[in-house]
Amino acid sequence: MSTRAKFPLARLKVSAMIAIVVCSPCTATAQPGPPPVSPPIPDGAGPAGNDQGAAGGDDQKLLDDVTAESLTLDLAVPQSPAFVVLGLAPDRVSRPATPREFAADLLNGVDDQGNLQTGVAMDFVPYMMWQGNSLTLQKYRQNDLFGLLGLRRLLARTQVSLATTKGTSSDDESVRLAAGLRFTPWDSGDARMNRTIDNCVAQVHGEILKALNRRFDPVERLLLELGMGLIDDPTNHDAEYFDKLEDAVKDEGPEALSRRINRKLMESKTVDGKIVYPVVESLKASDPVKFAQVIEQLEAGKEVSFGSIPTGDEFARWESSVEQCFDAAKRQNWNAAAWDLGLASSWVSQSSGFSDLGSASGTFWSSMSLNLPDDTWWGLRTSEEAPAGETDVYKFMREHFQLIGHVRYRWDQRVSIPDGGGAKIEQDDLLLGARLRAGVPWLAVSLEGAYVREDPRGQSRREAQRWALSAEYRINNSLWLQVSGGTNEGIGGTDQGFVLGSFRYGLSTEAPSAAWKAIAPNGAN
Amino acid sequence: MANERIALLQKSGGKPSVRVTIGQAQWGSYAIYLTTKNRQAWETGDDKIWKGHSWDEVEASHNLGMTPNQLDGRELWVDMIITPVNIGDPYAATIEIMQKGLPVEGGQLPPMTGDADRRNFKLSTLVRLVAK
Repeated sequence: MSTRAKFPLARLKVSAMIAIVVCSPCTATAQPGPPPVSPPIPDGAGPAGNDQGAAGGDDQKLLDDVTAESLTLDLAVPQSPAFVVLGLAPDRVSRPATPREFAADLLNGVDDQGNLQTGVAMDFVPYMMWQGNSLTLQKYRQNDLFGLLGLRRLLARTQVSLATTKGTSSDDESVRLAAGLRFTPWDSGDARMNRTIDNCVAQVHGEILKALNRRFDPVERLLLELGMGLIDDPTNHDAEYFDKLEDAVKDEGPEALSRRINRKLMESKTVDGKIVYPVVESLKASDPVKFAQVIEQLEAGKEVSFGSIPTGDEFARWESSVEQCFDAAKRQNWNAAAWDLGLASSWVSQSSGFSDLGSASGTFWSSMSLNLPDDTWWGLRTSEEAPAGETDVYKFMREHFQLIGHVRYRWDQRVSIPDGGGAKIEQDDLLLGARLRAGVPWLAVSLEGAYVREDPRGQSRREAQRWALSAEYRINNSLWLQVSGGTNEGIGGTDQGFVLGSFRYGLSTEAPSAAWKAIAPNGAN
Repeated sequence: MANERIALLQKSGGKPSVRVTIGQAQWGSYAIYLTTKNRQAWETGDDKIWKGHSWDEVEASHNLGMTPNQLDGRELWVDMIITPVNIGDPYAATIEIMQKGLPVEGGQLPPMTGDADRRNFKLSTLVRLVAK
């Protein structure tokens, strides 16, 4: 639970305010990369949907609603461009992993008469769907055909999104369809390319394989799996064995599990006057000697031995060890260089059929993140060590700074005319944004600027620009001071400066803000 | 048994090999074990346990080092641990038993696929080897 309060305290230039934000405990989850927050630039005439980067509303409303943390532009290419151009945030997104699932999902989008159905939201990577089963990590890392980029890798990072929705108002019977593409030609922070994870994961995998196999002889393992109900027939074996063993051990503990398995094995029934053990019976055909031994044991009231079933603590430790491998890589890659591209287009059909499907609008995004290069920029990351010959200053800059540039161009957006009584016109708009981020364990600073240009049909061009500087200072492990300030020169003649401040208090040791978590260097949370 | 998973080895087909493919570009490790003929125990010699990773530079194909007659009646166990990039990502594992570079009859097991719902997702399978 959190409580929040804002107290406007001062004005700077045209308008300014201080916000005190209290949350207890503060929790935040964030992925490395630009924090996904609402953009502050009032481009004043967004599309009908809530497009990413389209703020809408007037400037004063924007400042009244904003918190220091939310004053960060979203400079990321959306994960699912098709959803964004339709202004959707679907609860349920279909992610087909096989061609069969893909075909089924596609058919669900069309009714018996061939009309488009609304509510479709699909997100998939075509290459992984068709070729993913044979794409090993080693092949993914190969640099072939596209030289340093690697064709397989490029395809594996190309994501397609499809979505449909109904018209923009309740009496609008039209259906809107969008298709989007997102791909990442370059990503020096790609976890799959990080060889430092290999050794870490290999060590844990080796421990698990050794521990789980050597504890049981082959028949014990079969009996264990039969008794757990993982398989019905030991000669037709294909089990998610360890996972179910792990769950069972956690639920029941090794001793209770062993007793349960023995009870299952001892289940008997009488057939033609003879006692039969159906579970163990399945061993009879393939292993009559062992079958006889087990039956003898069971009839003598002895429990079948299962070596040493692992404890729940062992499973938890293995899981945690691997998680730490990935956490370390994430911290290492917080400011990784990358280039993302996105493209989406939408179409409208008044009849919900395909015959009158007409082009509506589209959006193009591109984001590039840069840090100072090291030897991992173009190739595999193989070491956590700094490259030989690197100076301390260069290393500090490389590890603590990041520059992000972003461009978004939207065309044929239908927007409401201000004071136009609901009338709409089409316009194109362009957003250029950039952000410089820097972080040390006690301070995170972000400087950003943006420019927006709108070209409404039949009206004069409008422009806006914004500069902002924000800083987050860690007073101690549970208290942060966050301050943002800057200027907005908004569309429509507004010209505003602002200062926002927040104190953030957290009972946990987690950093409270997404911005901090994204920017904090190694171990600084 | 009707559904018994058997790989039929050609007696004259040379020494069989096993190929494990852990796909979806995930981290994966595997160990291949061989039982004795009466299934009483594992073979424990270093040359009878084969291990590998999905990121190995060499192709994950292992020569079993025995003739079809020597392998007749044994079982091959393959244990795999798969670590997804993100929990919930899809996994895929395929196993092929081959002679002279081609899968033997019954030796091309259907891919094991699904979503890896934890950091160490673990699969196992076994195949009975029969020489004909």
